[in-house]
Formats: sequence, C-alpha cells, structure tokens
Amino acid sequence: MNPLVVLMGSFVLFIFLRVPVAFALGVSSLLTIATLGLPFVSVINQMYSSIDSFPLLAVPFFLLLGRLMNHGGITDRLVKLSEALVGHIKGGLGHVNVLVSMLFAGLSGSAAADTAGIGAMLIPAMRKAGFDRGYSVAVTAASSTLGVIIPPSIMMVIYGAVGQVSIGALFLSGVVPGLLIGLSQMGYTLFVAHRFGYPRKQRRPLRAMGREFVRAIPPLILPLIILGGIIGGIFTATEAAAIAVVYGLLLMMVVYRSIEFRDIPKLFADAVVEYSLPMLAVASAGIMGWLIAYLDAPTAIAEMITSLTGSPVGIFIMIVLFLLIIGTFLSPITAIIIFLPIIQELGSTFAIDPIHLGIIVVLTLSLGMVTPPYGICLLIAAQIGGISAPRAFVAVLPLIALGLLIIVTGILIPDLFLFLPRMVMPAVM
Amino acid sequence: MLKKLNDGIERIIAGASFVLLSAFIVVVFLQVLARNYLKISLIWTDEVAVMAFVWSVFLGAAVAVRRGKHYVVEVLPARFARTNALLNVFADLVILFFVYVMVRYGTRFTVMGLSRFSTAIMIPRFYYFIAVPVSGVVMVLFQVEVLIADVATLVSALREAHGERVPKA
Repeated sequence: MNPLVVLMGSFVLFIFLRVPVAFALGVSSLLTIATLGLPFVSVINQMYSSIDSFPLLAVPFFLLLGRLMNHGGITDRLVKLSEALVGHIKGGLGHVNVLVSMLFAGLSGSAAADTAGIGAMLIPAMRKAGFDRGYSVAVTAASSTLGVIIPPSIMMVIYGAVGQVSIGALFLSGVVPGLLIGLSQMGYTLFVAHRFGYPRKQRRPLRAMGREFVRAIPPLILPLIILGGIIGGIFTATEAAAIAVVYGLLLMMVVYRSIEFRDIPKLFADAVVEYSLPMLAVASAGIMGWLIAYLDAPTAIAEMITSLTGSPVGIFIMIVLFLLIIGTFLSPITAIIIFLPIIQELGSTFAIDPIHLGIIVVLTLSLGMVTPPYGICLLIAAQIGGISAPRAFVAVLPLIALGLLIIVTGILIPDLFLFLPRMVMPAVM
Repeated sequence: MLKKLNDGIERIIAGASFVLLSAFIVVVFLQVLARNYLKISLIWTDEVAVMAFVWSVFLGAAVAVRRGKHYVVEVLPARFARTNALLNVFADLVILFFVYVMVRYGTRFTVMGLSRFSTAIMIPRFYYFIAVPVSGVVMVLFQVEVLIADVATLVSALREAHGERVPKA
C-alpha cells in the first residue's frame, strides 16, 4: 500500500476513534515507519528535534501572559476602557466585545485566553442585557480569533519558525486584516442590534473616558514594547515575549498587587500543562511532517495541483479551501507543522510572496478556531454561554462569511495587507 | 495505591514545572539584558532555556495524560455513552502503545546522546534526551490509572444498559 495513504488513512481513522490528536499523529506515523522498514528510533529523534527550538519558547510566554492578564485584572481594565469608548453605540456590549478582543490581541498571542477571559465577563453581562445567546457566543468566539491575527501571535511565531519567514514582517502583515475584521464585526453587530433592538449603554462623559484610558495605559504599553523591539531589531519575537511576561509579572505583583507571590507556583504549573498540549502535538506533528517530506509528497502534490490550475489566485483558493476543511478538526499549529512544506512548495512554484502566503494561511486557519468539531474558541464560548456547539456554529456563520470576504480581498489585492511590512521592514520584504 | 503514587508524582512535577518555567523566563530575560546593556552575547542562555522548555513540555504532557486534557475530536455526541466509553478504552490502549515506544526507543535514543555533546555548554545530550523516556514512564503510570477508570465506566455503562432492558421485558 502507498505509505502516504497508510499515514493519512490511519491518522483520520484514529481521530474518528477518539484517540487524542497528538497520539493519533504519533501512532499513524509509527505504522507508516513500520511499513517503510525505517528504525523506530527516528520517531523519537524527529519528535524531540521538533520542539528543540528557541523560537517555540514564545508559545509558553504568550500563553502565560494571557493567563496573567485574566487573573490579574487586566482584562477587566480593558473591558472598562472599551465600554467607555464604544458602549454608547447601538448594541453596546457587542461592540465592547469586539473592541476589547482587539486590545487584548495586541497584548497576547493566544486566542483561547481571549475567549476564556472576555467570554467569562461579557457573555453573562450580554445575557442580562437581553442579547440573544447565540449572537453573544458567536461574537465572543469570532472576535477572539483576532488574538492570533493582530500581533503578537503564537500562530505567526510558529509559522515563521517552521517556514523560515520573518516573524516581524508576519506580525505587521496582520495589522490591516485584524483592523478590517474587527470593524466588519462591529458593522455586523450594528446590523443585528438594529434588527433585534439590542440596547446601548449611556454615553460616558469625556472625563470618565480619560480616566479609564489612564487606568489602561500600563498594559497598553506592552504592544509598543513588543512590536517596537522586534521591528527595531532590539530583540527577537521570543525575547519580546519573555520581556512581556516579566513586565506583566512586575505590573501585577508590584504595581497592581492583583497577583500574590504565593499564587505563582500554581499559576506556572497550570501554564506548563496548558502549553504542553499544543507542544506535544507539535512534537508528534513533526514526525508526520518529516515523513511527508521523506515521501516527497510536497513535490508530488505541487505537480498535481500545477496541472489543475495555472494562476496564483487559483492556488490561493485551493489552499484556502483545503485549510478550511483541515482546520475543522486540526488545531492551527498542528496544521501548520504538517502542511507548511507542501503549502510553501506551492507558493514558491507560483512565485507568491512568502509573507502574503503566510498571512492568508494564518487568517484561514484562524477561522478553524470557530468551526466544529474542533474549534477551540467556539467550544469555550459555547460552554460559557451554555449552548450547544452546533447552535453556536449557526450563529457564527455570518461572521465566518465576513472573514472569508476579507481573506478573498487580501488575495486579490496583495498590497492591502503587505504595504505595512513593506514600509516598516523593507529589508526583509 | 497507584493513585497515591501518581498523586505524589504529579506534585513533584508541579514543583519541577514551576522551577523550569521560571528558569527559562529568567534566562531569556538575562540574554536580552546582557546583549543590549552589557554588550556581551551569552552563549549558554539559548541552550539552557530550550533544555528547560523541552523538559517542561514532556513533564506537562504527562500530567495532561492523567487529567485527560489532550485534544480529542468529538465525533459522537455525549449521549452515545456506551460507544464513547468503549472508544475511550480503545484510545487508552493506543496511547499506551505510543507511550511504550517512547520508553523503549526513547531509552535507546537517550543512550545515543551519551556520545553527543551540546554545542555551547558541552554537556552530553543524554541529559536533554532522557526527558523522553522519563516522561514515557510517568505517562505509563498515569495512563494505566486512566485505563482502569475508563474500563470501570464502560462496565457500569454496559450494566446500566442491561439493567434498563430488564424492567421492559
């Protein structure tokens, strides 16, 4: 039997039989290696070397930062600031939900921390104010995916590290689509609010706005440190993440005193278990990625697809469709590790700009975080809102459509997303 | 017995996780300070940070096995209790098989690390690689505990189904 068929077939089978993804990746790779007669020790070698990488340290740092922000009252400050800024618009809390996700995204690189922290505060508040549960869950889940689009972003760090692309340039390419997606979600909120008569909050006096802004300044300095440092070449994305964690810890332990020293060991130990989940998946996805390269699949698939379409736009559309399907049951990080070699091979065959390819892949995979069966943001938000995943999915469909519209626009007009990195980091573009 | 042993191991891992995560935060922070303010490049920081990171991942992943936190794609709704209980036992056995490979071939890999040295701090890679079999052994202990619990759930689910049928008959 074709080894590639063994690999993919057994992987999908194990997934359906409820084997955890990280182990399904490992065991299907083992079966394939047995078929090929390769030594099992190479499995361990590939597994180890996939996570033996300095850039990956950004993942624990950004996850820890998200956790600290939720525990240490930063999320609360950002919500209050957003309420003062957009709460008075029709559908107030919906706009607050989107805006706070955009602010949070600038501080954290993780979408799930965003859903959990903001959802726990805003979904109950929205229900009390008379918003439909489906809409509340949908807007929380969809807006929290901005966590991996607006820099910093764990997904972009991994894309850059695995694909040898400038992480700084990827970060910058996420700014414009992040703003567009946020604005489009606010537009949708306005439409829904008018249709169903959702309430607005009272307009706050300018002085209150100023006060909330001052209260939020210390955390809002973080994005400036992170982006400024990376773009200025002072430190790498991973180092920036470490500095952000130290800054966050000092802020919450010394300045705000919202986290005490005795809370730290448990907070850290829980964070380790939390990041070990995606990292074990990265380790075993590394085995599968290595096998796919060993079997020469990237060239074979690139040749096959070249015979189907000749235009870069056609390639983009095929990549987007493929990632939409894959993204429903694989986490974005796992999908990147396994399929990036094939995607980049296609990109270079058609002379697509690597950053353009990167941002489109990240945007598409971020939609996978709100699609069942495995869409982490949708699952968390639905759980908080107390509705079923299918119902949440129906409610989130219009927001997915808006995201797709922005992706297609970005494919057709590359400069829309790329002018910013070109302007700020001409050296790597 | 097994539960007590595993509780102890989990406590030790929690302590180690705290130390490892703190260590690589501090080390990476030092690296930036040293380069930008003292104008020296520390050569050992990268290696030490990555080593602490890899160890923490393998230890954390073992705890996640015990807590059943590794991502599962839910294909069947929760109301298919018996089928899901049966599939859980199957998944447990698949995990055990992979973990067995981690222990057996991880040990072989670790022994190979005795003669390979890290580039900056020049210690045998053995101390890096051994994280794999150590994690594997802990995962075996944790996974056996999970398997026993899942078999018990399956048995009671089957009994319940049987019990429901009796009054109807």
